[in-house]
Amino acid sequence: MKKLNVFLMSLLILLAGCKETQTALPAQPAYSKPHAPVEMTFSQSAKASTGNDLSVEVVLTTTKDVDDLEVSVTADNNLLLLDYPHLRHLGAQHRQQTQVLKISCQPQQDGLYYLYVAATVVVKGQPQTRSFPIPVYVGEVNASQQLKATGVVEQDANGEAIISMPAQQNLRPAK
Amino acid sequence: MWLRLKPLAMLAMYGIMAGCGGSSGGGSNFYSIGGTVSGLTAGTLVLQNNGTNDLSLTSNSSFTFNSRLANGSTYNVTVLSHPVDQYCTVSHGSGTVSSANVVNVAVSCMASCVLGAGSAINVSGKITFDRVPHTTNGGLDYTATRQDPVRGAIVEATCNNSVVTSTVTDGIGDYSVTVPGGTENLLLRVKAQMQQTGTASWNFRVVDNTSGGALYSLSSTAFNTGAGNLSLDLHAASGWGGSSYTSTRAAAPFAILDSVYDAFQKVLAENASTQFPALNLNWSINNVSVSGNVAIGQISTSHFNGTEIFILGKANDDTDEYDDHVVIHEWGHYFEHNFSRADNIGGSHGSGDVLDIRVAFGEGFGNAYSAIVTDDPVYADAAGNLQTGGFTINMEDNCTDIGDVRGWYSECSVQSILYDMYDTATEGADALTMGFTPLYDVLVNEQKNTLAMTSIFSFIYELKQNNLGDVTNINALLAAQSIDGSLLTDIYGSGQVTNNTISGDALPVYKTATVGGAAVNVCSSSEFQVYNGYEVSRFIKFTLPGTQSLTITAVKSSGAGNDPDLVLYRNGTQIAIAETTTVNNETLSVSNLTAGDYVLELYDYGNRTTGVGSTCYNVTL
Repeated sequence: MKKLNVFLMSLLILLAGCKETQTALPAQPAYSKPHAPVEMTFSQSAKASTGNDLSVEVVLTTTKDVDDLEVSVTADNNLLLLDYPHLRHLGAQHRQQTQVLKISCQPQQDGLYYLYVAATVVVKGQPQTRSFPIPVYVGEVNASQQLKATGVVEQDANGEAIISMPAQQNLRPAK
Repeated sequence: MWLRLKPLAMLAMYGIMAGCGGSSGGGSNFYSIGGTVSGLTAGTLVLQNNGTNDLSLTSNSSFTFNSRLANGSTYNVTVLSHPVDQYCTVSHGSGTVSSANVVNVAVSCMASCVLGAGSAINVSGKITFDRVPHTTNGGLDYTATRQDPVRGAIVEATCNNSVVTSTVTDGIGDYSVTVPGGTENLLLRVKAQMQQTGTASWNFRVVDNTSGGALYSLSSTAFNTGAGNLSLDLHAASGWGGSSYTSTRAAAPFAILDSVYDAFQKVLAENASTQFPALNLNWSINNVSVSGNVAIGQISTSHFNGTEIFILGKANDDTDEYDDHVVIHEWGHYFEHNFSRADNIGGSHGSGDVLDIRVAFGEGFGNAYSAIVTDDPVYADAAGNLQTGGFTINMEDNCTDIGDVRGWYSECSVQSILYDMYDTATEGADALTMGFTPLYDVLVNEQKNTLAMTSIFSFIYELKQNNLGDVTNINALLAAQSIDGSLLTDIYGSGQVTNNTISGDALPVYKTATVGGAAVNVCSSSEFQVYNGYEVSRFIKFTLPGTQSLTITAVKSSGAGNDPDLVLYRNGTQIAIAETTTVNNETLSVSNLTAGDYVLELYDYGNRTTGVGSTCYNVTL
């Protein structure tokens, strides 16, 4: 029951994108790949709407001592970044040291878009990058309609769904 | 009475009808199903929705079924009859109505395939895909893209979507099929799937979790077979246009499949009769490193969830399709889960973390296995804008990177030890060239059945028992990772001493209790990290001399936490769990436990979630 409560709490927090403020704690997937020693949480000032500026506060925490922390921000099309130097050097960080950054953007259209915060830590000259996408739900969102396809979904003769992707081909008489 | 109930009855009937999914009607809660037709050149195409509501079309245009469906209803558009000399397929033809008209059903018509009556001819060639290698910092180097063979994948010749014949590509990507001569509009399709039945069996599929789990495939354009044999090569391109992805990322599913090919061949080399449970690897260009709705790609990170693997794919965030070490790391979890035993509790982790011993072993094994399979000690994971960033882990650097954390709690130490035991290179403390077989043997035998939690201790103890001639060299490797191999005399890591990372109250790794004996004091701490950090969970071992019932209690003795939980294991199997919210104590009662060795796990629930610091409990049996 406790595990269900934590899951539900995490799910509610993560699905709270439609609320005016949200702070997302990372969920616990089953068995995941390793990542760089930096974590992120974020909150946004208000519900996002087309044509209106949106402010997102990002808190980065290094989980180890690092020699440098570098942060860059990019965004999906339809999210216009405002007043943010897209690359910022924050210098050496101690374990559990936090950096607060404010990102301003302006949605250009309703839908689900992402800001991408790429945090790169450097230790003994070795860079390690971790990407933190921030979902921005703008207006009325039908996320499934926005999905990009990698090919045409068809059904084979057995009714199994198959995505057909075009090949580059070379057809010729056999020697 | 009837007049008062009637409106309610009508309302109930309306609700029931709305949920039935096939009814038509008007009103604001009903939506239309439609789309477009292309390629129709002549004749009549007849579509159906949900097996009814026939719709006849004679030209390329948009269409709408005249029956509307209630919100939440399912729809399934199919072809009832094809136009003359044409064959039509439906895409985006099924789903659930979600508060909007459905307008994206796409029906595509092409010249129909006609099987010839001529002598059989051979169509053969090579199937390849773009493999994008890494830069030294772990990013992707698109300028060095090479063409690799698609190995072991299903190839089908199809005629109007029916399979005429099929085969499998060989180890260098070649295939050969025999089809009737004189066939018109034949298609060749390569599935992102490897499958074999029999003594050795497998079924690995790369599917799109954002398209209902549809299987990826590569398709030729339609071609005719004459009287002579044909050579047909197909290539899956990366889709990279020089500064961004500009076309179909057809190579990605085959890059993932290729990594799995290497991963399972390594196991087959140890046991040629291995029967691999079916496995779906979910990848999509929409798969983003955000937790949320998997159906729209919010998969959190690349991971194995105990049943399936999910792989990131969103450009400019984190794409893992070309990160073969990442794919094989996750496949390593699948292997451990199905053929060995993984007591790993998962969670966030990386080099330099001080981890629960179960997590350290499971994740270290995944990293090491990726290097073992590829014979490449450098694990690379691309990420960031244009995939130019990322990071690398070098199995050979002996954990001199992040934090210099070494020990039985370090995934870095585990990966370093395992890889050094495997590889043929000898340097520093590494004098071993054992290969994979001794490691595999322990994983699928002793480690699978160990009485302890799966860790470097349980693994190394058994490895040494099986390889007595290598004990000195194994101990040297362990010593280089701050593990005293000479004291490693059991599966529980007894005898390990404090070091720069671990202080006294964290040892021994397993405390020992006796039934009816004195209380054992253990402390749960989130000093290193919550959930899966070292010391969040503490372990107590005990032996039952005979079958009996048992009551275990934990009572707080100090600290800020107040919610102890207890989990009882036998051979890694959870026997019982007590996780109430009772403040400051917990009781676990179990009946008819058989004689033997058990492991009890205690943690403060607060340290599994937010972190409450060191909290100690007296445990009695």
